[in-house]
This record gives sequence, structure tokens and C-alpha cells, in this order.
Amino acid sequence: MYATPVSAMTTSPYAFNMGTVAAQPFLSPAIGDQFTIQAGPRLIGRFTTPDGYPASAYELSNGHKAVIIDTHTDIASICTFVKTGSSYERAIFKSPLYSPTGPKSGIAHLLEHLLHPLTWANTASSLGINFNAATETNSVKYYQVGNANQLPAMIKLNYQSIAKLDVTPKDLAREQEAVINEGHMRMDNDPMSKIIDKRYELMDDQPVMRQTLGTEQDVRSTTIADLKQFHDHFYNSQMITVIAGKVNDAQVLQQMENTFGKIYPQPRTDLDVGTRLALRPGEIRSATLVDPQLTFSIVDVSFPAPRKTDLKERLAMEFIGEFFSGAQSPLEDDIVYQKRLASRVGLDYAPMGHTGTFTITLETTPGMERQVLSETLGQVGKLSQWMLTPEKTEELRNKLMYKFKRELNNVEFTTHIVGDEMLSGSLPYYTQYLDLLKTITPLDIFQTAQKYLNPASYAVVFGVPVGRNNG
Amino acid sequence: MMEPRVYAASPSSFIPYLYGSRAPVAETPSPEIGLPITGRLTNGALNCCQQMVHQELSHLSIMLPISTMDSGSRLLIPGLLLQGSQATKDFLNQCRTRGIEFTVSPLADRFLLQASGPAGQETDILQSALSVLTCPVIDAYHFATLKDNLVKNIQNGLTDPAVPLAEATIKALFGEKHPYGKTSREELQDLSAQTLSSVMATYKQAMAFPEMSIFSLISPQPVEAQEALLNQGIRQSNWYASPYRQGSLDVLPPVDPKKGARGPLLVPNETLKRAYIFQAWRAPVVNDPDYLPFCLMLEMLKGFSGGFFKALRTARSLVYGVQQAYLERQQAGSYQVMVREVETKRIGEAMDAMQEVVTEMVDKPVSPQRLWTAKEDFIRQLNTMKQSSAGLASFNQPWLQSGLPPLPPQALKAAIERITPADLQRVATRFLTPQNGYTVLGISAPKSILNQQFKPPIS
Repeated sequence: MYATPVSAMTTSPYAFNMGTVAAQPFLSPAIGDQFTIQAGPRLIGRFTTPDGYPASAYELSNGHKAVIIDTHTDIASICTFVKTGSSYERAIFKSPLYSPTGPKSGIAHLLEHLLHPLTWANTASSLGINFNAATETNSVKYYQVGNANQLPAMIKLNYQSIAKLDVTPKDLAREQEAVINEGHMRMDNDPMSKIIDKRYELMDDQPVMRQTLGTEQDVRSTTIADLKQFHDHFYNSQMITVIAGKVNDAQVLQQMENTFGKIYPQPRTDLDVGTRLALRPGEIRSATLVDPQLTFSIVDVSFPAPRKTDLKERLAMEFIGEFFSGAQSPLEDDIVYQKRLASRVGLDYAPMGHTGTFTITLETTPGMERQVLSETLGQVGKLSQWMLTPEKTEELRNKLMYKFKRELNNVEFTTHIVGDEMLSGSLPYYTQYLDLLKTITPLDIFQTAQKYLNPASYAVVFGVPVGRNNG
Repeated sequence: MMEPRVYAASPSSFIPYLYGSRAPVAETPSPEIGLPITGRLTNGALNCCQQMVHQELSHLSIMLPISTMDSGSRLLIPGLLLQGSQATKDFLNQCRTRGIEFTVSPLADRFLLQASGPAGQETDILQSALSVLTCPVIDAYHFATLKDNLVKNIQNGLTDPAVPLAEATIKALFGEKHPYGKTSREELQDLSAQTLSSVMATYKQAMAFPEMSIFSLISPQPVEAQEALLNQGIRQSNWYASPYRQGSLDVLPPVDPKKGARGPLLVPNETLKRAYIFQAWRAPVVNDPDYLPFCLMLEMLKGFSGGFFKALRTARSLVYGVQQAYLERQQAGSYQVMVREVETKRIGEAMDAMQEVVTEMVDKPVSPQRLWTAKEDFIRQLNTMKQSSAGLASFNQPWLQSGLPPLPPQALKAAIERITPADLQRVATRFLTPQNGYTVLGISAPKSILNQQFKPPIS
């Protein structure tokens, strides 16, 4: 599995190059636009999805981006992405644009609840459409899946949901209660949720509170005026809507222009916001959570990881994730099977706009936490000392290729990934994934491991049962 | 590491072709998905083949009956088949590099092996799957590790307050002794009694009755080619019933018919600050004539516009969400609703709201608009699932699990279209009322709260 110690080499004899992907703008210039649009929308590019469907990207007259993908399916999907999220909350309320009402944690999520009110949800449901929304740290998305013939209604509903904030005190009170109930459901009886929150606290410069939900006090004290400020700032023309299904580009585009294209194009002060790491090179941060609900211990160790736009490193990190996944991976083989120190291992690589995190979570017997951490760091550290063989690299490449292909042919996945990557400026990750995979060499993986997976720089959270505080 | 010990299924001999029935061809297929064709393979196994073109992946599933009384084996066998030895893990790792992925999961009555891989590689997919099933390589060391980890994982799962409440309610729904009501604690007892020999004996017994297994293949190939491929795979792996086989597979005991309403069943939990409420109803099995109307009725109860969400969140802000599930099993299904984290002073209000939903469903015929919506919703889910071979396979599974040919998508759409408001009212009355159906309500909260709100106090 490992080949030669890298310290002994100047250049890798095992490094092989499958050819590089030429730098391509993700949207090639439009050629021969066949559509007759009266005013405003302009074709800004075309691309083909990895499953072979043609996609066209337009800019509406107010700057809103619309991507239309013809998947010829009986099912249609729409997803609108807004560049906001919980990591924007502190920035916005500290900004001179607003009165210093103080940070309102959870406002991005509360606003999403109010823009996606139950009346709209009822309308969508009455048409047999599946309708929902999600607030993340760096984006908020509103999405629907319905039968192909419902697409015009779906576009209208997404537009009506987010274009205007029309809230009564009664609506606000109802959704404040719903968000607080959501907090109880998600956080109160799930030890892992508390560990993830603590992980954010250790890793991030401005950690989100209670996984985007916000504190109960902040949610209760948020006013309609606060919400309007937040809405005005982010819900303008700087949004992206992706549509997939059996579509007629001209009709869909016309409807988009008549709806999303009319949202006021208020120029906004672009905030350089987004999760950044608080963990400094060479720093180790740790915390222990004693949870009466736990009967076992959890060791949750996180490293910095490549951000979304660093495609080569991002792909190399996926090779590393794949290397450590599954029953035959060195982590499971050594820690679960050989040494029997842990009963379960989980991995998570979360790339974001400015940074990323790579997390390994292990369930273990109380008292074994330190040993499990030490063994995990030992396994992770090997990747910075030894280069993978070409054979192992090829094996990982094949697994990643098939894993990606399994996600294809699904309109919902298509709209979500296209919008998410476009919002981050990393669409080639999706459109050129299979080509990019071919370019990753053992040296790329080695260098990425050396850069990020430093066993002397990490954050660890120990979750332990009462009376077993080993952290 | 210890030397691997190899266990193989019993040697077998050829059993003549016994069955040959095919599902009637009733519908015009959609352009991309052909009709499912059912028949019997040369070892007697039920098979269902379906053509699906323009797909990257083909999907194979094999369901095997397993002793339902022995939950220890049922839980251990999936892990053992995929991680029973280093040799097994290496084999499956090689499969993954060719794009072939396996999962094995225990169902209530069977266990299910699923394999999917690149379209055009069906022979490789089938041979790999049959190799996993007929030549499992399992050593004592891996057995001990898997058993130990499984025990820990079940114990860890018990920390979720929903688990003991749901298990107590489901046990009351199906009866104290029935395998469907087995709790995690009972499964732990079964597990701790298992040895490698006892599990392998159970597995060998299941493999000795290939005619009880069910194959399903969905690929771009014509169904005739798929069926020929399956038979070829059976021949090559020599998986036939042994002439020396003894005994029989355990027959799942019938579920006692019951009517009425039981509860509230009080499950004290001192880690809770708020209350959990869980209600379960007996529900139809897939061959019940009311199966599809029942499925359609559930469309009106679930989701944002569903009865429970509207009553509990929209109208009263009692909870964030409502979880619902319909589990189709061979002997009896269950429909269950779970609400979490209700303020303890509002338990009674939440119970009343849930009852209101049921009463409305039983007493008031649904409007044509609401019926149309439910149908549109159902068809959307069907359209979503038939985007991929794995989705189509999962759609077909309830029928196959009961040994029935699956309904082709077009036939299913037509059957759904024929359902009337009277059908829905009939199934609501049949399953949701204590006069005709059977329901159990369970509540979990700290003991002091339960004692305060429910008389007589629990001991």
C-alpha cells in the first residue's frame, strides 16, 4: 500500500501523470444562441453535465444567474441558492450598514423559515410537489422536486417564497417557536450534535451557534426589522437558480426573467465572509464533553483541509478520504480489527469557501480515548511520510470514479451540486470531475497530506459518559 | 492473525426445473423501463428481471429467508458476509475498484444482499454476488470482533430515547412473543448466545433452501438475457438444494389478530426534559386489496400538508416535525408516528391533536382536490425512484419480499388513479379505528411527569 519513504526521494519515481486538464472556463462562450428573448437575459455559457445532459447558463436582466438543464425526465427539480448563511450573521450586524443591535445568531435560519412559510409549503404540497429549504454556514437554498408538468408552478413558488419578506408578528412568533422546537429535537438528546458544535468552536474563527440554529435567546429576541435588514442585504439579485427536467429553454427562461429577473438589483457591499479556521499551524486544541446520555466514548479529531476552489488539493483530499474509508482501510483494519480499540469509525471531509475540515470520528470504550487518538494520529501521519503506490492510487481513483457515477442521473442531485459549486466558484469540480480525477498523482496526495494532515496540528473533542472524564 | 477458516454452503445437486410461471403482461411499458417479468430459476428461486435502458448501473438483489426467531444470526450474517475475514474484505475491495458495490441488510423476515455495478458488467456483478453468498470466508477472529462491535453499536443506539419507547410500543402492537416485536435488549441476549458454529449452521440451513430465495435483476439487457444469465450463475456456483438437507426453515408465526386501542404505554426516561409520543397501528401487507389505498391515505397524513404536521406544528406549534413510517412485513405491517420533544405540560394537547387527525380521516370523505394532490404526490415519488436501477429495485422490493410480481409503473399509476374517496374512508375505518384496527400509544418522559399526568401512577 505504501511505497518508498519520501524523505529518501527528491522526485517520486512513482508519480505518474495521466495528462492534465487544460484550464477551461467552466462556461464556454455562447455560440449561435437560438433563443429569442425580448430583453435582459443573456446566455453566458453552455456546458454538458457528466451524465451527458446539455446545460445553458444565463444572466437575467438584474444579474440573477439561471442554469437550465434538459434531462428529459418525468421529474423536475429547481434549487435557488442565496449567498448567505449563518457565518454571515456576525459580519452583517457588525457592519456599519446596520445599527449595532448585536449579533443575532440563527437569523439566517429563522429568515429561511419565514420565507418558506407553511402557506407556500401547503401550496406546493397541494400540487404534489416536494418543497423544502436548508440553511448552511455559507449558503441558504430553497428547493423543490415535482412531476415535470409542475415546473412552471415550481418556478413561481420559489420566486414567491424568497422575493419578498411579508411577515406578521404572529408568523414570527410561530416560527420562533418552531425553530426553538427544532433546537430541542436536534440538540437535546443527540450527543453527537453537541460534539459537532464543540468541534466548530475549536476549529472556526466565528463558530456558528448550535449548528446554524442560533441560541434560544437570540432567536426569541430577533425582530421583524432585523429580518428585513438581513433579507434586503442578501436576497437581491445575487442568487443562482438551477432547473433540471424536461424543459423548454425559451419558456423557462421567459418565466425566470418575469419572476426572478424582476427582483431589485440592489448593489450590495460584498462582505468577505465565510468560515475560516481558528486553528493555527502547529496548534492543538482539545475539549471534553461529559454527557449523561453517553454509555460509550467518542473521539472526534479534525484537521484543516482544502477549500472548494483548490480543485487539485480537494480531489487529492478525496483520495485520502477514500483511502481511510471502508472495512479494509488502515484505520478500520488497525484500530477496529487488529487492536480492537474502537467499534466504529466515521469520516467527513467538508470543503468550504475559504477553508475545509477533515474529521475522523471513532466510538470507543471509556478509558481508551487517548490511545484511540494516538493510534489515529499515527495512521494519519503515515500519509505524510510515505507515498502511496501507483497501484493503490489507481484503485482509489476507480473507487472515486464509480462513487461519483452513482450520484448521476438524479435531477435533484444535479440541481443541488451545480448551484452549490457555482456559488463557490468551483463548478469545474462537477463538470470536469472525471477528467480531474485522472490528473491526481501519488505526489499530489502526499503533498496534500503533508500540508493538511499534520499530527501535531488538530482539534479533538472527547465525548465521555459521566464519571469517565478522560479528556 | 489467525488462519481463516472457510465455511461453504452445503454441497448441492441439481434439482429439475420446477416452476415456470410468468407474470401476466398487462401494460405497455414506458420507453425506458420494461415490464418486470417473474419466473423461477433452475434452483427454484423466484426471479424478477426488468429491462432499464440509458442507465450507468445495473442492480442485482438477492433475498434469503432466515430464521426469524433467531435475531442473533439475522443481525450477524450481513456483517460476516462482507467483513468475515481479511480474504473477504480483500475480495470486496477488488470488486469496488471495478465499480461493484455490495450491501447486506437484515429485513424483518429475510436478509437482503444488493449489488450494483457498471451496466454491461452483469456477469461480473452476479458472479461476485454469488461468490459472497455461496463461499463465505469467515474466521473466528473477525467473528468475535464483529459480534463485539455489533453488541456495542446496539447498546450505543439505546441512548436515543426514541428507541426504548418505539420498541415497547411495537412489542405491544405485535404481541409479547412475536419476532416482529423483539427489542434491542432481547436481540442483545440472542447475540450474546451466538457462536461462529451456531451462526454458520443457521446460514447453511438458509442456503439449503434456494427455492425460498428471491432474485431481482435490473439492467439494460433484454429480460430473456437477464434470466439466462441468472441461470448460468446458479449453474456455475452450483447453488441447488441439497438432497441431504434436513428439517425446514422456521415458519414465521402468524400475528394474532387484535382489535382495539392500547395505551398510553408509559416508558419513563430520566434523561428527557421534554416528552416523546409514539403511536403505531397495524397496517396491511402488500397482498391486501387495501394496500394501495392505504399507501395513498398515508400521502394525506405525511409531509408539510399532511394531517399530523398541520395539527401538531402549523396549528399548535407543539413540535418541529413529525416522523412517520410504514413498514410492510410478510405477516403484518405497521404504520407509526413519532413526535419528539413536546413540552411536558402539553402532552395531553398533543395526544388530542393526533386523535383529531385520525377522526377526521375516518369521518370526513376527502375532497376531490385533496385526492388529486395525493395521487400527484404518489406519482412524483414513483417518478423519482425510477430515475435509477437502485430506485426501481427498491420500489419493487415490497412485492418481491412477499413473493409477488411487482406492479409495472404504468399499472401502478392506473391502479392509483382508480382509487376513490370512498376507498380511502374504508381503509381509514378498517385500520385506524379501534373497532376494526389495532393501535398502541406510547409516551416517554421523566417518571415524575408521567406520574403527575397519568393515573394511576406508574410503579
